[in-house]
Amino acid sequence: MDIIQTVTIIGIFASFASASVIGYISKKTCYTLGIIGSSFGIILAFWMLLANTTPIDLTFWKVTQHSTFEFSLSSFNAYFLLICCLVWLGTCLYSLRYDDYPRGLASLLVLTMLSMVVIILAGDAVSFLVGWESMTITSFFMILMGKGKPDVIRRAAFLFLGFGEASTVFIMLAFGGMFSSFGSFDFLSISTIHVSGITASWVFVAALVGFGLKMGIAPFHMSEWLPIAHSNAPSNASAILSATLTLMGVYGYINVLTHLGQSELWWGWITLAIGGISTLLGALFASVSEHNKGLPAYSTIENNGLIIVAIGVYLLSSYYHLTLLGGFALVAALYHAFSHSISKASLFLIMGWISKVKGSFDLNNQVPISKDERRGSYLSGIITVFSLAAVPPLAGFVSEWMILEALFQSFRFGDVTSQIIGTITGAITALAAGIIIIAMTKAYGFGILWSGTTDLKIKNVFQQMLSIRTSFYYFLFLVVGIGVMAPGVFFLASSSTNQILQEKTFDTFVTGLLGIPAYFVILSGKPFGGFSPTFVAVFMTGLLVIPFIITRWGTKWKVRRTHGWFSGQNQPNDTFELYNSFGYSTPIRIMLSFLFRTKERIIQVGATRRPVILSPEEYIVEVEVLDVFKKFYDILTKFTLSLSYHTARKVMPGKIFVYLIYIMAAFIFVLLYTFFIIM
Amino acid sequence: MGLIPSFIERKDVAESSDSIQISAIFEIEGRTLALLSDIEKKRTILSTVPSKLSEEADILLKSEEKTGAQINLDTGSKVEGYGVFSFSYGPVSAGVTEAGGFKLITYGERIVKVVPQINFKKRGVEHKAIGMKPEDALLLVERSAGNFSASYSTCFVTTIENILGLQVSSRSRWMRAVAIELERIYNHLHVFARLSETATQNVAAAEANVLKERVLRINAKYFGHRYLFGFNRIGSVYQNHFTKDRRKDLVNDIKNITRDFSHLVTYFLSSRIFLDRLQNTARLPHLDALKLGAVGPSARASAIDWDDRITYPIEPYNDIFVEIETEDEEDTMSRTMVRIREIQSSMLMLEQLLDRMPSDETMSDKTSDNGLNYMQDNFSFCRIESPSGDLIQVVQLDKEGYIKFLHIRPPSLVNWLPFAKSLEGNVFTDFQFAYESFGLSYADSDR
Repeated sequence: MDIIQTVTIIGIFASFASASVIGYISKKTCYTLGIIGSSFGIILAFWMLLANTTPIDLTFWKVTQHSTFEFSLSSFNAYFLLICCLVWLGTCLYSLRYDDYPRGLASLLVLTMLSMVVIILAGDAVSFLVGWESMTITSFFMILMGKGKPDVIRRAAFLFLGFGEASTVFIMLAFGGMFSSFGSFDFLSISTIHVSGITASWVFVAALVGFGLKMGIAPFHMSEWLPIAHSNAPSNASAILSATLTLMGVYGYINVLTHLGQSELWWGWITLAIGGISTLLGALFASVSEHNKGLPAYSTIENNGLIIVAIGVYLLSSYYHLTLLGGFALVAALYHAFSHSISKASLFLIMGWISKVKGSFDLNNQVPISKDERRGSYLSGIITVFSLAAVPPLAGFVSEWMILEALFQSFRFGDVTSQIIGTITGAITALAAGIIIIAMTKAYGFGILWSGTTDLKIKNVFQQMLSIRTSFYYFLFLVVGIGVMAPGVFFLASSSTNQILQEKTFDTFVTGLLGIPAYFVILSGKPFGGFSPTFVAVFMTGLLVIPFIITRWGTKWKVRRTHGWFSGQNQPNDTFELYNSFGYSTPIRIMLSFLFRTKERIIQVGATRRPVILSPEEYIVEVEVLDVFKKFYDILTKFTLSLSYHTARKVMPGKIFVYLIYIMAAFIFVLLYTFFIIM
Repeated sequence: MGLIPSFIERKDVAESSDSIQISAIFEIEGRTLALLSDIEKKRTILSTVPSKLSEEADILLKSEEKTGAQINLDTGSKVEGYGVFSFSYGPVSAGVTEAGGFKLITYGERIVKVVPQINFKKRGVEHKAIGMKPEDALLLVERSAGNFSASYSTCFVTTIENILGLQVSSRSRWMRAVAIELERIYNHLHVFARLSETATQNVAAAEANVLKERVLRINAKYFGHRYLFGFNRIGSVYQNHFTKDRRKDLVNDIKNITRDFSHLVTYFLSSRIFLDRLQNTARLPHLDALKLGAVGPSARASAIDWDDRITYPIEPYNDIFVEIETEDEEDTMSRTMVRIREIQSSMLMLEQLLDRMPSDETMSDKTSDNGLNYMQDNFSFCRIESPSGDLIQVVQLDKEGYIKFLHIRPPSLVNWLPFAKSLEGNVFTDFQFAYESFGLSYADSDR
């Protein structure tokens, strides 16, 4: 372990830990320390990825007989650390101005980051779970601080906690399975030891459910816990939750998969199916969401679905020993995790800022806001939604292209069922990629662009808006950079997978072609497609810039402003006469009423008609939800509550001292048991 | 000398109901009178204005304003709810072929309410005609809605002839009926072509347009103008040597068109895609059609068997076989079927008219045999079944024989509310089908 690693690790922990304490005293210092901590993280991650050092295990002390507290540093977890730290840096920058919440939010935010650092660096299952739990609990408290109706916020927070704890239970089950094979809890560092047989399948299913719960994928998305929780939190917390907390799910899932031996065929099938369904449903629900931040949250489900799909291709490829395709799919998953996290954090921060200024999370609420306050959100907003809608050459496009190219190669799988599932998933994914454009145009149009402007000037705009605008442009730079500099990101992603795949995917897939210099074309197979984001960017810029220069040559800059065209009538002043966000997506609600279970009614009250459209976006429209999965969860909740009530009645029939004796006895029993076991 | 024909009842009706509709309200010599249609007894009633007026009648009154201000035909109900907004469509939009607009109140896709906006092209024909000689006013009236010019001019000249007590040759009246039926045919073909175009049935649209063009050429050949302008004169018609041979030629031309149209209809009825767009689209329930006073093919498609050719039978309709085409499915398909069958029955009627056309010498009976004397009123009115439905004109002349009062109650005006009603609960894509199937015309309603 060299000096840089030591300094940066100490730097990360010292910054975040001190920040979490200082947060109660000074928010600004807390966030500044968060920026410093994230910077240390970025340095460490780059060092690990670029220097291509061998994995290092830092063993600290033995916790139990079977568990050692240890950190593991490899290029694999460095890649995830890099994504997280890039997001956190921007979020902390943004929070400097954004955070006007009660004391404690800053501390909780930094504590969540610290917990995630623990998760990423954990070399043993126990410290992983400690990080996982503290991440869940701090996030729970952050959601509780959200602004809105208290009962809605409380419900969102407890929903999050419930699903978070359920995820912990399944992860514990997965780890238990792995423990039975390894005989120790220190298995999270990249190693060659594999779990095999029925235990492997057990671990696979438990991990898929556990980490899938955290990622909000189908069928756990159905109760919409992720959008409800993520959209009700303060916006900086939402960005952290949606961009990096779900990333922890991706990290954990891939990490566990690397420890499983020969994969089974059905693992790939299930993964592809779940990924495909999540992608489509995420996209559809995003496009009908009327919540400023609910929409990006549903889009998170879509993107996590895409990552799961790529992992599914990786699993099927490894079953058939298609090392080329498997490697490409895994790199695609990691690339997409990167581009999604950055784009999504950016979108959450922009939407959060706009809704803070507007004072409403409703996309239909077109309150005019000051030009000064929204400048910066236009450009970074459009680039971000372009990226999330997969417009070339931006970040989202490159990774989505890679995933679709991987799916196109389903014909390489050895059996017809896999080929069919791969093809159908490909079709669904492509469909979702189309549908998400509706959601993204809606987010940009109604969320950012079309709320009216006032001429209200703000004093000291530059200083007031410095941190907000810097964070917007910071993410803008990253979103463009990840797309245009695709070979560079491909290099990072591939070097992080080198130890898993035991080969260098970069040399295989990144090359030069047809006059494009070496290292600028990404291939998707041999022989298969190829694409150069960098040169597409150059070409697109040329197409825009050269005609622009030609038309401007020797002429004056003329801008003509007119009113909008309203079918030949005067521009309406009333927002009632303007097309709104709800109307934009109602065709989908009506066309897919079998999926959304949309019910339309027009109630006549005297001379007033009230159309009521029953649809799933309950947190805005406040109508009943007709969700089969939610019904299931509701029944489960009722059953659990009544069971615990009756058990409590049996155990504690009303006399408090009996109960106290019971607790004392239980405590003594646990103490004695532990003592004898350790001895 | 009475000016009002015998099939008109004169009594004071206290309250309009579903079966007694207010067809026109006009103020003459300080008195406000109303023309009512008794749907059950199939009679026209001239009455003072019923004391209790429906909201729809209020709207009718509102639209009489002479100014050119834009009017929203709104029955007053409000729409509230999450995501509800008003979507302006027209007056300058693709799809609305004239200068007229709509406010579609919706929450996206589903139409909750439609508020038609008229009077964008108000020319004040009624106002301008005052003080004109009837011959000059005729030019103005027949051009106010070009595609209904034969109906407009016939209605106008009949009224003037009634007031002046002119003896008109039966042949002139029969020729007018020929013109009106030709007008009906080309207008219905136009509606059919527009519907086909809306359903992107381009071949059907082209075929229907060809047929329409052939009818227009017949108009030009036999009546001197493609849109039948200038053919009606007060007391006579412009006759371009309507000899027996020429009439035979005309019958042959019509038979050819009838044959080709039957082919087109056969194809139409076998196109499932086309039928699917029309069936169950924009239903206008029978009771709503009654309440809102729908007229013409749109009303007949909702099982209201009112046709001025039978309920207000001026010569020659009292002498030939006229069939009322009704349907009871109440949807766009019904309206289309009514129009198709009316084209066919008009073609048969044309053959009758041309075959039995009286000679030039026969003078028609005067309609003043009803024993009612409205001489002191010195006004008269007429109802003509125009292609889009019941057209009413009320005319009064001063002592010098100039127009003193003119009131036009165009069919499109009363059909806006039934149209708006039929669209409730439909989706945006149904809009154009409903609009075309009602055969609505802004030139007609804005006059």
